[in-house]
Amino acid sequence: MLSNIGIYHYLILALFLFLIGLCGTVISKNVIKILISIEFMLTAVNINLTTFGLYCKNLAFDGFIFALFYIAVGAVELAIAVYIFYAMYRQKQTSDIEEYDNV
Amino acid sequence: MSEFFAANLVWVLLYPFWAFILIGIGRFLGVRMSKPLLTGITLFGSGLGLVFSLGALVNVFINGASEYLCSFIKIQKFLLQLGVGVDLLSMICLSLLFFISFFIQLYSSSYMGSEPKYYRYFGYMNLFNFSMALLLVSPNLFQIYIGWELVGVVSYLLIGFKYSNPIKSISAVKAFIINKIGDTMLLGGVVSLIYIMYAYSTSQFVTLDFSDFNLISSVAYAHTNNFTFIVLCMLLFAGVMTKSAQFPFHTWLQDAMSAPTPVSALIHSATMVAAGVFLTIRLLPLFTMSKDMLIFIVMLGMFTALFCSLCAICQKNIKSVLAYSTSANLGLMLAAVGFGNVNLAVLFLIVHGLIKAALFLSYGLSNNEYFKNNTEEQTISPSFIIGAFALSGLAFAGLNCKEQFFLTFKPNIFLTIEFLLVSFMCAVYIFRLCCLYPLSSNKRKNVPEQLSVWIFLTVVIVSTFMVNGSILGAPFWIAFVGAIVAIVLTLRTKYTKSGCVSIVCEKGFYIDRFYSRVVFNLYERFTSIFSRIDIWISDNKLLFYIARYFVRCAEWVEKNIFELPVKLIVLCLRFASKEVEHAQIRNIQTYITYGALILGIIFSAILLMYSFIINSLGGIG
Repeated sequence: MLSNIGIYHYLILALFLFLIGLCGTVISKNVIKILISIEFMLTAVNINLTTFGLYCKNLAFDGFIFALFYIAVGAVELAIAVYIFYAMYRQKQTSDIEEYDNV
Repeated sequence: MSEFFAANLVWVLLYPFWAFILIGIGRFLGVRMSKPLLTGITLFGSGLGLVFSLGALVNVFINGASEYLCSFIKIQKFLLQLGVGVDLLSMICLSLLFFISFFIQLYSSSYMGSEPKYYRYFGYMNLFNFSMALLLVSPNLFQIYIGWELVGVVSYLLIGFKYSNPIKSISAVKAFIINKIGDTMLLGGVVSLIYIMYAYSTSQFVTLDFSDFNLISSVAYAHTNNFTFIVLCMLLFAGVMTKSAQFPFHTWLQDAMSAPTPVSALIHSATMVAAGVFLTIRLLPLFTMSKDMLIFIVMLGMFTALFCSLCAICQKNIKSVLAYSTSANLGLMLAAVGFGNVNLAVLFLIVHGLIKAALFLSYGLSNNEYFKNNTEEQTISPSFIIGAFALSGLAFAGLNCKEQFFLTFKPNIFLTIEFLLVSFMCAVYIFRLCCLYPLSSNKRKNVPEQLSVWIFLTVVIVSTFMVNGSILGAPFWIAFVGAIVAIVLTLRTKYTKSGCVSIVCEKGFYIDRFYSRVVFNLYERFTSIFSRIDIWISDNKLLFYIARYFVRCAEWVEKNIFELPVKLIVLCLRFASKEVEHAQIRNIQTYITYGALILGIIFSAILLMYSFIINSLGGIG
């Protein structure tokens, strides 16, 4: 059963994860929820990268290195985003994204 | 050398038209030309025209007639040409036109000096020069018709020059309408002639050139019965009758006297009204075919002469006397043409034009409407008396012409008596004026006006000695008696400004009233019949319901079927615009949504086209 899992399963998982992240970004009002959704999307992209790295022989380790690199970038981005939102929160006294219309 | 004048005449004739356009457009764009400049432009055109037409006249004597044409309309075989036909008659008339119009324009520059619409007057003068020249030099009947209409328009514009005065503007409309009746009949004649030519002859006759008018007349006479031919001639002659102010249509000329005096001199006595005589001479080959037509022309001319002389005897106004006298003298000219004596008609056309211009201008000398306080009191100047001598046939060129008329009409005793009566009355009415009104004491400095009057008179006096055979015959003595009678009657019996002779004559035998009451009433009755038919149709209930039913059907179809797609499109657009509106509210999440949508669409498109792109590049690997 497990041996049947191939590249498409991974890719579809990544797609659904990406879509969940996208929907979460669009729908949710809370900035923290939006950050979490963005992380979902990043994870989906990472899954894609590792999948291609695993299944495409001529890519060798490029996919994994990219994924590692992207995790680092994502962490930094998250830190910056959290700081920006914090600054906004101090100014607006709310965590509602709709109030943040003068970025 | 003289060929140069004939060949380049066309440019000279076009000059007044461009001058008119220049003055008109310049004024429209707000360019104010000074009065000397306007006068200069106009006088230059007339002077140049005079020089070139005289040169072309010399060319006619040396090299014979010639034509300079350009094609105007071409429909299959029908090729209508406009241009300049240089022959004896047209060049004589053209020289006369430019001579008279040059000096009258010189006169106007002083006479109309205080006129605020000076530029307009001179623009019209240029247009008149152009249209009259177009008429006179025309090589075919079409161009004559164009010029015919144009001079009518200019006449209308100049009679109603002071259009703020309702009487003058009504006179202008009257002149225009009566002229329009004749123009329409002339057009009918031209079209019928073309129809006959199309049906029975080759295509070169269709354009009605005057060079082959003899053949055209023969064809027209051969292929129509007598009655049709007379109708055709009458249609063409009706145009002449209106333009030359002959009997049933002479009433417009009296009202035309409300134009400024130089205009009366130029248009309504010397040149435009003579166009009728000109056209009759041109169409003479056609009229000669039928004897009845010639008799009709002679009778009409003589009757008009008699009738209008009778009316002229008891007019109160100097200008209306002169107007009636113009009608009478044009009648004499037409009679001469109908009698076959074309030379005499042309001679009298020139002489009468000069004398009448001099008379009108000398009337204007002492009765300037811009300088006079009391318009009721009229005076006459010395030059008027000299003109009177010439017009009545007591002296100068008039004497020669009257003598020639007498010799022409001599074979017919009836015509002779009628002619003597006319010249008797001519002397009576003109000398009555000389005795009735006081001599003016004019202290105004009007050199150009005096100059123009005396130039015309000089030409009239000098031309006396250039015509042979001036005998003191019957016309002289009858005019002499007329003059004596007029002077004696006027001085003796206190022949006042009204009364003495019947008021019927003064009112022109109530022809005008007949038109305004009876003819107008008949016309109104006629139209009321049509209006009744109209009312009957529109009041018909059944028709109304049927029409309403159809209209409602149409309305339903329109609302429910034709408007449907339009409404759908409108709804779609409204919906789309509402949706797009969201993209512009400052919301990050909306931006993200639209960005994702657009990117998604682009990437899906690329994916769908993936195989196509790869294939077009030649496959993988």
